[in-house]
Amino acid sequence: MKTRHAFTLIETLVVMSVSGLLMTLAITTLERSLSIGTQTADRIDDARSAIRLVDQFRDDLRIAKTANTSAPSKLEITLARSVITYEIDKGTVTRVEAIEDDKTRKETYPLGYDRTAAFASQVPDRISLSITFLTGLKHEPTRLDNFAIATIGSRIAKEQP
Amino acid sequence: MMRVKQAAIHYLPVAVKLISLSRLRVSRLFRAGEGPVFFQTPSPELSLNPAATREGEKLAATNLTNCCTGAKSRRGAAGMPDLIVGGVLTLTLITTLATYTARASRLMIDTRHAQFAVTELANQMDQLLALDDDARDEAISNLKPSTETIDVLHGASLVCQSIDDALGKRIELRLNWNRTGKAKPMRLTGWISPPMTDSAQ
Repeated sequence: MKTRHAFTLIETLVVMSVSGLLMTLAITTLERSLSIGTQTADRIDDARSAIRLVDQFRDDLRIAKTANTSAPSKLEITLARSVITYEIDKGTVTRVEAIEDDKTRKETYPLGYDRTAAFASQVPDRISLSITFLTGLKHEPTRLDNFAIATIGSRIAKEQP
Repeated sequence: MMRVKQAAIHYLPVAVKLISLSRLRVSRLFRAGEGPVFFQTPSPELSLNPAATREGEKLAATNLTNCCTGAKSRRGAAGMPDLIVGGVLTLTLITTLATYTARASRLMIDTRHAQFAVTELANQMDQLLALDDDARDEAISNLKPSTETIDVLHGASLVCQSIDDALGKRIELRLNWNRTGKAKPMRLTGWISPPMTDSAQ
């Protein structure tokens, strides 16, 4: 008589447990890999916004007459014909430029809900802008993502003889 | 207490035998050309307790019925090759996805470092271009990456070269840091005095 090999209940249970574990791992990894696409798109948007902010910050300071930071979240730049104010609020930087009379030009730079920025005066006549990422980790609560320094009025100084 | 001990000693071998019988495969109850193994070789332990023997016989009879009718014996169980193939496929899936996930994370870190390096070069260039010639030469000789850059980009080194040729007077900054593979240093060039064009002349 031909004998057929089958598995006992214990063997089947062990195999089912291992299979379940492997499937859990596979589903977790798949879910993570799918969410990475969305995360990457968000990160790219935030990074692009941060680049625009840094470029605008540099351009404004280069042609500035004066600039002062009353608080890390506020920067006021005085140009020849206008005043520009930067304000940071919960991961969003707002730039308001008073052009003439009561007209203003407003632009926002969203950095992401887990990012923040700060202005600081640097010796002798420079202003820094640091963008930090809130990691939520105990050993490294924040991580510096971008650090820009610009000299106040550097372009004006070069143009003047 | 003694009675309990005696009962345990008496019934323990029977219990062990019953458990082993319950795990016995149906196919192993038979040998080629012989009858059921269970009926051919009744164990001495089973004969100790008539009730246990009856239960064992009942169990074996059930197994025999299932085996002989054939309908229930064809159970759709997974064989070893099926399990191996399934396991290999699952492991391949996990490995592939884990590799992609790790690579994507690495790419995001590299992109962030590259962006940080660009900002550092722009910072240094901005400072150097704002200086006059003498101060610039001194600044170039003492040039080094900022402390923030050294913290973020491991092994960061900054080199500045002053060039004056047909393309104009300019400075070139090169920033390099520890990266995987053979990556070229990031370069940024800033013109101090651009070459005179025909229309400007």
